[in-house]
Amino acid sequence: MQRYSKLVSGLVANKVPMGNIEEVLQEVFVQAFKSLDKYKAQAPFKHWLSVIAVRCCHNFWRENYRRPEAHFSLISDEHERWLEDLLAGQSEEDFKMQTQKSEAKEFLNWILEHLTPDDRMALSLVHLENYSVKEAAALLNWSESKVKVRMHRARLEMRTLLHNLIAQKKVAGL
Amino acid sequence: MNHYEEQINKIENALIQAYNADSELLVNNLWQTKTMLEINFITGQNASQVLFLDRFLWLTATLLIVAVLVSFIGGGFNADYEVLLALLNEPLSSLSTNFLV
Repeated sequence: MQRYSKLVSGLVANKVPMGNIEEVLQEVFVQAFKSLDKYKAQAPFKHWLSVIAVRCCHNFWRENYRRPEAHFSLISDEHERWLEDLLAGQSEEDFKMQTQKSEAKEFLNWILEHLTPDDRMALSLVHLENYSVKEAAALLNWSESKVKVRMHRARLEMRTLLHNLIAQKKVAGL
Repeated sequence: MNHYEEQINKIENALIQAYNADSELLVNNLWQTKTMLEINFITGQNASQVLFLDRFLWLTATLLIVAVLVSFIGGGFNADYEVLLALLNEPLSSLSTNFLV
């Protein structure tokens, strides 16, 4: 368990909310323990455990998903200010500074909340974590075409949200 | 590429970097709770079940201690104490007979 702790934590940490990470981590190891007899050693143990971890995260979102209304008024003043500063920044250094702020992660979570569990997982794995479509398909036990479709939809949804947000800010004269 | 597209790309890139920025720190902090995870791994329970069991056991143990204390402080203690005193006052030779009776 200690040997694979970093691998599993790394997989789970960014995919579920902060307060639920330990619970999901726990679930991963319990599931792995219960399924040890099903491990056929055809693939490395690391890979087998990664599949369980990703599926536990997916299950978490399927159980906890509630589609929120896309009201931009729900974005806090801090996040609006973060967006303004990000878009106004000219240098590479300004950009890097903005990405390290907690508002960046919170804003990303706000966007991810608007995606379905399937779209969210596909986007997280392929777009945010740079897994290939083939790897993501293996982790989620989906076909490659399903990953592509979900990824495309998720990215479109995310960009539409951002587009509407910027357009609204333009109208508001910000 | 229009102005909107440029801005969207900029935000998207910032969000990707933000997503990966604090994962290292998170992973290191997580393993401070290792003990609980090990317990759960052995018993096959999730964190909330273990927490519930833990609290339940503590509550039961506390109630038992309180119950024993109350019984000692109340009449039970006095009665036992009197029997003990009577036995101690008896000569040693008669103890075996008393027990048999």
